[in-house]
Amino acid sequence: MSNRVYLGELEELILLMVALLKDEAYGVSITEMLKKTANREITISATHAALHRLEEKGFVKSKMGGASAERGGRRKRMFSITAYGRNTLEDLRDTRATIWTMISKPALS
Amino acid sequence: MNKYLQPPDWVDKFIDRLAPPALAEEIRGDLYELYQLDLERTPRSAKRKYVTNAFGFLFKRFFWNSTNLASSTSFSMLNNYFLIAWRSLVKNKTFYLINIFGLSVGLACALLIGSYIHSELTYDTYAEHSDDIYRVEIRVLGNGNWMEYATVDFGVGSGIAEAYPEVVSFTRLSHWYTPYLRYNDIVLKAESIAVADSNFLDFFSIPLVSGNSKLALSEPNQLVVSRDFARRYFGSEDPMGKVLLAGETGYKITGVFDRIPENSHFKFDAFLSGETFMKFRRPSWSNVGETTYIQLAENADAKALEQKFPDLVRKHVVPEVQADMGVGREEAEKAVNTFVFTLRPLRDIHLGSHTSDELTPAGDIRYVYIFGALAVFILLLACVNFINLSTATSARRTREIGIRKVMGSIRQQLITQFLTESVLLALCAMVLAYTLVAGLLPMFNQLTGKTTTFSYFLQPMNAAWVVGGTLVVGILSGVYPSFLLSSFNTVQVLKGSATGTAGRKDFLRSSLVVFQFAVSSALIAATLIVYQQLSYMQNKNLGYSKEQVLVINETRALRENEKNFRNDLANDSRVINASVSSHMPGERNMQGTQAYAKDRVGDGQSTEIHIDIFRIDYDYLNTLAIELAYGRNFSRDFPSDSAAVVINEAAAYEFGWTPETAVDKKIITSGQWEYRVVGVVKNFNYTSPRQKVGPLVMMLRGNRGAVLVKLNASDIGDFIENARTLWDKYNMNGDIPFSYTFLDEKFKALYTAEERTGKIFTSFATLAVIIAGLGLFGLSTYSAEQRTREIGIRKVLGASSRTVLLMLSRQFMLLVLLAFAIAVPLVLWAMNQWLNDFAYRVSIGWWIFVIAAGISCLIAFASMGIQAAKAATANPVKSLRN
Repeated sequence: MSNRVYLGELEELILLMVALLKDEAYGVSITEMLKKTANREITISATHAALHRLEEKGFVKSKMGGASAERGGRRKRMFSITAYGRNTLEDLRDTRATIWTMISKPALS
Repeated sequence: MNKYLQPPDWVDKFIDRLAPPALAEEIRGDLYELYQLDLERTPRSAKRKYVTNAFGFLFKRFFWNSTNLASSTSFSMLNNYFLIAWRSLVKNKTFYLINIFGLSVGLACALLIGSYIHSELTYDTYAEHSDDIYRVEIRVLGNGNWMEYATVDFGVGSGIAEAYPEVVSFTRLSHWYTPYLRYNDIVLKAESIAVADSNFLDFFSIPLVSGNSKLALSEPNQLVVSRDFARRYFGSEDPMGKVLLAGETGYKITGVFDRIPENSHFKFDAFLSGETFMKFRRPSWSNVGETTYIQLAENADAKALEQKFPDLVRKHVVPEVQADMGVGREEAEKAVNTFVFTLRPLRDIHLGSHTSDELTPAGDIRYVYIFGALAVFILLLACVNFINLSTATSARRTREIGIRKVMGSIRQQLITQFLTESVLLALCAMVLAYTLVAGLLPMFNQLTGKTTTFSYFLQPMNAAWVVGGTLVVGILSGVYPSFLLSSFNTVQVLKGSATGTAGRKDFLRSSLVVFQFAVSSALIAATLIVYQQLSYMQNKNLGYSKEQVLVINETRALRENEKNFRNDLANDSRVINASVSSHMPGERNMQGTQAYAKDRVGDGQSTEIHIDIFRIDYDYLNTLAIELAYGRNFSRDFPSDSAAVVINEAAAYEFGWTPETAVDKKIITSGQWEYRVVGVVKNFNYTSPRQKVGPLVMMLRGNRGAVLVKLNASDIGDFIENARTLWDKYNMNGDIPFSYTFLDEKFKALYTAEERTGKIFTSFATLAVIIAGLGLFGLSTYSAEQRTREIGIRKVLGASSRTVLLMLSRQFMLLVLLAFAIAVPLVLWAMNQWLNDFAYRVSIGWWIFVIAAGISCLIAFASMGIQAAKAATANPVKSLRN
């Protein structure tokens, strides 16, 4: 890794959700998906706060999306992962994988 | 879409107002969408979730960083207000510290008392149907008084439930007087176990941690115990299914509950299944002993039901009375005219019921009022300080106000500014109050006998109340100063002349000081009176001697050796006398009977009275030094004494005799037993000294249960050790350990309620005095400062320090005396009300007021003397130079 990236545990999960949901990533869908996949219940405001931090750090970008009836006619802010965000996630995964192989090797031998 | 399904409108408005426009839309959209989801999943809590979700945003930094608030004018003004408030605080440290400290003491008092009142008022609300539950009670006219009993007979609950369809269910509870329960090596005295019907747990919604609440009490010899109880016997083992032994009988643990809620009028450690004794019980109606609760159908009218109870009395009680007293139906019906079943709402029991057989000490609604008033007064005192000091210091800020006005401040802005300041101070005081509460809570719990924890004050609802209350206090005490300060005439204040309407202001300030000192001297006087009454009761001659009397408990365990044990003790040289009797003065007496005088039957004036029974032996009267008024004590020389009784003077008069004529007369008691009176003792206070002495009959036999030993005052030495050795010798089956108390210690415990009241009054009187003293200190500081020039000139012209000191303090001393004059009649009235509750009471002496006046003057003088002395002794050159 070139420079030190700080990505909190919750931020990482939410970033993963943004990647997972592709074109459907916004506050509510991310919160719901997080509950479904990782069994983590967080409040909507916490999701928003994390998304803001991710955007500030450049891991995600956002634009206003379409309105719908179940939102009372209000638009939603759609998030998508940036290339930088994706690279960071992959880096993290690789680092962990490496560490895990180091952990399990002595156990096997 | 249904209107009910809309999320609350005010939340949206709130978000729109606070949220940065760029974010408002998405936030509201997400909230709305989540709400729709929640409506499908958990329709009941959807609305609540919507609100909490929305408020969640307020705690996020991104929400505020980009918010529109920071850039608005009103926000920057607010910033400025904070700044000015801070500068003003730094400049007038003393005043502000007095303000904050006084207010925080006031708030802390209000918090503590508030928690007490809240707990008193929410007694017995934990049961699911608490609003529909009633306790069945009896009112009986006896000896001219209506006597109330909190318990009824065994057949009443089931009888009522059968007779009236609006009664949904009933349940019964009674004490289980079992001495000791054993598990392996562990033998403990089980203090509070109740016998309860099988539906008891569900009736009061007491959840079980383990076991089935429907089955746990359904069979004989089943015990449901609290976690604490289980831990005492079984440590960390699983209590379920374990067996506790009382003698040979085993009781199986079938359920465990956490504990009975703090605010319950019964506090038992364990419940024994009512089935255990069911086969021994007769569903009779005319006695007492079973606490019986019924649950009515919703909307059922308890008053209407009560009206129907006389039918049941005629049907069930009359035949029993006939059989019991051997009288005809007509006479029995006349007798039960004064026998009334009543219903008391469950939630009214703790504060409203004052029978002698309550399951826990009852509260008293008057104490709730008294303490509520104390809290309000102390808080008011603190607010008064605030108002006083702010208006007093206003002179210092006239320039600032003038400049603000010139620069374009409108009045509303100035008011906002000062209100902000006072709210800010109130909030500071609140934080300090919380620290005070944390520190004082253990002491307060000791005073009230409650177990409130600090987390209680942090619960969201309670904290919201506190913050809300603090804001109100801040605004209330800020209103007057802010209106006053903002009303100054711009030109005048800038010229440095008059600060407005000086005369009126002085009047207000003076009346506030009067108010403060009236309250604090009233509290001082009240405290003195409470303590006077307390010491009067403790030192009153009760008609028996309680000093140096050792009570050895549970001697029933010695079986047939009980008497030998007593005799061996009596032979000890240190023992004056010893007696076997489980009845002792100062305890609540549970034995009694109806009785009438045999010789007065037929003279038209015969009345049946209710009379208490003491079961004693030949040595009882001597052991307790109870004096005979007439006749003789029981004697071993008269074998016929087994059918004889000794009565007290009150009983003699109730039967229509005098102590002299009573001897050799006969009385008939319930069950048609006939007794001959052989002696009359002087009235001694056999229950609580709070009550008048009632009629009492003492008889031989049935006295087993405890041994009373009157000791030689000079030398007890190892007597107790000897008694213990003796106990071990006679205690064959070995289960029950030796235990003893001293009668006078037992007696002291009777006064815990009064002692507590006294302590609470002392604490709060002290606080009130401190707050008032602080206020006076602040005011005199200010007043001395205002008059430095005047004092300087006076001194230059020849005034001595003493005259200046007098001049400065005279004004305040007059106010303090005036306050006192107002307080005296109020205290007289209120304390007479309180004292009227006592059968034996002190009269309020004038010297109490002299002492109270002395104390308040002393405090007043101490709090202003320092400042006055400083001003009086200052070098006039200094004050006149600038």
